[in-house]
Amino acid sequence: MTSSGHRILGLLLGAVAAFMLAPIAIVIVNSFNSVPYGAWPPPGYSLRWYVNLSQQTDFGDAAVRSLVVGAVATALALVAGTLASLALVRFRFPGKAAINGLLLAPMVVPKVAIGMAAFTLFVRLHVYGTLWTLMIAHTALILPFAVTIISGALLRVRPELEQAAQDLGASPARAFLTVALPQLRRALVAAAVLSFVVSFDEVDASIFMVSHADPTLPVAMYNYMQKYQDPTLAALSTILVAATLLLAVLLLRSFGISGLSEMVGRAQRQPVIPGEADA
Amino acid sequence: MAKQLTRRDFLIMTSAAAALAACGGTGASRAASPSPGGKLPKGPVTVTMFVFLGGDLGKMPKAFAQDYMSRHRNVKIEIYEDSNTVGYPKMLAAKQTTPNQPLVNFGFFNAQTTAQGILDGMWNRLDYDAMSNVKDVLPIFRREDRYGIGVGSDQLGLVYNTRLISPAPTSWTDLWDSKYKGKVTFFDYYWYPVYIAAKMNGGGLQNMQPGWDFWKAHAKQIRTIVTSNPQYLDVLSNGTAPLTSYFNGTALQWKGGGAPLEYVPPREGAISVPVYLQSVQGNTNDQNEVVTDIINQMLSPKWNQQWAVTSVEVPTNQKVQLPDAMRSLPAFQRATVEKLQTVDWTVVARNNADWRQKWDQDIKANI
Amino acid sequence: MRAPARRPAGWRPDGYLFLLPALSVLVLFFLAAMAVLLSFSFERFVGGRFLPGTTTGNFTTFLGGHYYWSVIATTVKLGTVTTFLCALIGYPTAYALNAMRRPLVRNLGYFALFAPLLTSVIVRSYGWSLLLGDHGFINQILLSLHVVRTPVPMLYEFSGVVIALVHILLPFMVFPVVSVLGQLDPALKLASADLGANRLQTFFRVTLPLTVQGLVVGCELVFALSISAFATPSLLGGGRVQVLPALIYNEVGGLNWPLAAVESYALLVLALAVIGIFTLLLRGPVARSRGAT
Repeated sequence: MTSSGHRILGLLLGAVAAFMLAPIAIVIVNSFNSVPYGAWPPPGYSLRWYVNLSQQTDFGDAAVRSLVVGAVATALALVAGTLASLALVRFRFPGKAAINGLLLAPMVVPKVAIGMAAFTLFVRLHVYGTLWTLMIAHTALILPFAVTIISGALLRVRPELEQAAQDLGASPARAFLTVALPQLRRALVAAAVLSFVVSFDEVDASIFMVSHADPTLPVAMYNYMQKYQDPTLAALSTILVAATLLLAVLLLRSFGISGLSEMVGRAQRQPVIPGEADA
Repeated sequence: MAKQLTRRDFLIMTSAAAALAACGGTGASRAASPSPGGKLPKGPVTVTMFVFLGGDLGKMPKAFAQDYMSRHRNVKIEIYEDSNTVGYPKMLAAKQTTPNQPLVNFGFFNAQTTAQGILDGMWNRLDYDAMSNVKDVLPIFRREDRYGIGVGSDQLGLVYNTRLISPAPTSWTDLWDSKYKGKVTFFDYYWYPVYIAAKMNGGGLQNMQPGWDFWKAHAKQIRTIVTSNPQYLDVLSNGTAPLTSYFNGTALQWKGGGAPLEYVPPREGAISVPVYLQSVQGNTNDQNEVVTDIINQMLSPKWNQQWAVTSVEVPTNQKVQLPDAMRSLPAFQRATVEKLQTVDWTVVARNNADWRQKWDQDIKANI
Repeated sequence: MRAPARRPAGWRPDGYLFLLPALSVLVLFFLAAMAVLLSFSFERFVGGRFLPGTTTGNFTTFLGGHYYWSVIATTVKLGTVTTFLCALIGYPTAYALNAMRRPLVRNLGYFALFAPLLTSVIVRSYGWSLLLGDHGFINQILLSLHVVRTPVPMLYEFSGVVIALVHILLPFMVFPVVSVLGQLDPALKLASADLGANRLQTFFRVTLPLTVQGLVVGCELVFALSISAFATPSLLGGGRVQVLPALIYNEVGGLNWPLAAVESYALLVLALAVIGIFTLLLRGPVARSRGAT
């Protein structure tokens, strides 16, 4: 890659980053707005919305609930998704196309309809408002993301390497875990990040499925917005973004700056078996 | 002459009301009102109350719940705060699957939802004779069918940006006046201007077609349709669309927050939108006893006044004294109250789905 | 080979076993919800209330209504345009991210893509209203540079919705492509250069074909998400962008659940059809990319 080609790519990346961050920058600035209604540019600056946020009782519990549900749902979706991807990519059996469609469907059907139907279902089964129903629902909703990303990457993982490992005495499971899984690292991280975020942000279906006493964070935000139209939610969003930044920085510190990229798969450029590069 | 309500007045008004309530209201019955017909149950009873999700609409119900629970140790009142769009469908779905375990046991429901509930068999008939405060409630807020009782009434009129529109609009017809072309916004969906247009063109609630035709031709008046309250406030305040029709209560809340907005009752008459307290079908007998008692006490002058002040609505108990600052608001002037238009909400509930479609197809598609 | 003698290679009846966890979650929840929706779709909702008995009237109303087809058209149009733009912007972005040597730059890039996902769409739409409005940031720049003479209407228009949707869905295009780019053996590019290809040829003949699977995954995700998007078209479309999910939301609130159920199934069929066609069209290139190694 020449340096001019590199520079062009760098500029492109910069432009896209600016596009992605522009509305967020406005949100962050607005969170310090001294007036509640949308006056721009802000006539003054103040921390009053952060103070107001700290006085709200709902958001803390709701945030914890969203984190827990998101983490559990993501973990379940990754495991189930990897297994499902294996089946879809490597095996042949009747009904594959139908199952493929089924795995994609929760992503497409509008969540508001799913939520309404789920509410009816939960009430009938007397399980409305429980945490585990929410976890299962979120897992089902984020499963399509995990399956799509992981199976896309699995297509490029050659089964011959695992077979070679099996020939050398490893069980099929061990072969998969030690040979194929590392090649999927980047996809797994991408799937995990996207799945978690989809669950954390999920509001359309959750509005119907959570009980009024135990909302998730997006539902609590939605409820707040119905009552008060002021920048308190902007303050909350700013805190979420800052927390993510902090988390990322901490991860970089503990894994080393290049370590994070390695986790995301830079290192897997090394051929697994010597001589493989000639293929 | 209507006195302009400054932000300071508004704050004084609400804190005065709170102080009044804390001191025992207007001097009328301070002690707990006598038990209704039967005796209140002694054992533990839990009831869930539906509360509007919006602004300060939750203040009075929550204060009431605290007060009631402190005087009736065996009763637990849970609060269910929700919007009508999400809350009522859930109530209906719950009723269809588990009719003896209603999602909520009682609460606040606006006129349209009340009518819808009657269609769905959602409400219990209230025992007016067992409720001591009913005799003080204005007759128009009592119901012949006994499905609920009025606790307050908001109104719909014109809301506009005072910095961008001057002089103030005065009539429903301003909404389709060509000088405001491209300057109007509405919440999605809002059939009231269609109803007014229908009435002025030979139709009415039972025949809305003239209204739809009229607005289809005048759709370009509308700059944008909004779908959330923050967006609504934004669009009105920053000048994108400085004229609309909406609730007096919400407009005053926004104004109290500093937005340059004002509410004007149209000269042909603002539309009265009553709020009812309902008891929900499927309650146990104990729950019904408690609910009847609670509703009765909410109608007492003390609590009815607090509701009126925090929700900025016309109170239904004639004995309620409104604070001066509130009485001088345009919405509460005698002239306005006398001209309030009422609507047959049963017709509205029956036609709601069809009107919604016509709103989408005839108006939204043409803006 | 260990494959059983009589079955074709790769045949695994225990394929179903691997699918079991995923399927059980889906069955428990999603299929059950879809069954509830299906039963709703045959119920009668007339004059504001549910009446006993079943009917196919909801289907005929929907399929026979000219208005509903126009809504479907708008929805598909929104999905297609958004997917196209996301692919156009997303692939080069992923390529750039992958090519950056300095980890700090790369991590900042990931962060820029990822951070907006954490701000709720309602909050973000306020930012868009300030950027895209008639007196907003972008129009002010365009006007001051004399590129246009009057403000370009973007807010509360189709274009504004597209911009906001691309903003939300770009990560869903970039991440899958990045993950596939990471699997690309660098030796292949070296080999291509050794054989005399210039950078452009290497890209179009080696890199792109081998990574098309990532592009396909990204397009599937973005398309599926953009046609089922409800909040963005509602908040930024100003009522002018009538898409199927918004209709469904209104029907649910309006208690017309039978129609909402029909519309939900319509959306599902639409998505599967389009994705199915898309996959078929790309079967050639994808197979070639698999077979290349």
